[in-house]
Amino acid sequence: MIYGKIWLVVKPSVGVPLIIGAVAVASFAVHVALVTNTTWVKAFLNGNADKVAVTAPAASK
Amino acid sequence: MSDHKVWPTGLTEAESEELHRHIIQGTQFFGMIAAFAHLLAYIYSPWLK
Repeated sequence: MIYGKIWLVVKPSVGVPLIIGAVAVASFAVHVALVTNTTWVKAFLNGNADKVAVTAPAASK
Repeated sequence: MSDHKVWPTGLTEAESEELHRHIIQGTQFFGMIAAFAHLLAYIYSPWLK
């Protein structure tokens, strides 16, 4: 397998957590960037906030 | 003969190849779940719409 011999020169106890950690940090950073730079994520997580806002005035009439 | 040589990390070539197979398999498993999660997010959230 390609690069299969990497663990002869990189200690698995260092390399494996490094790779998993890098993936975790990069993934988290992308999702934080999404939450902080867009408006729709918050609205989506709030559920049917737009529907409530639309129907509430109609119900009060 | 060369397969029994222990490298500085304490692994032989066969052990290194075996570990790497598991890491690749884990990466593929993670990737497939992530792809499926992104598909669900694309379908059910306003993402990219």
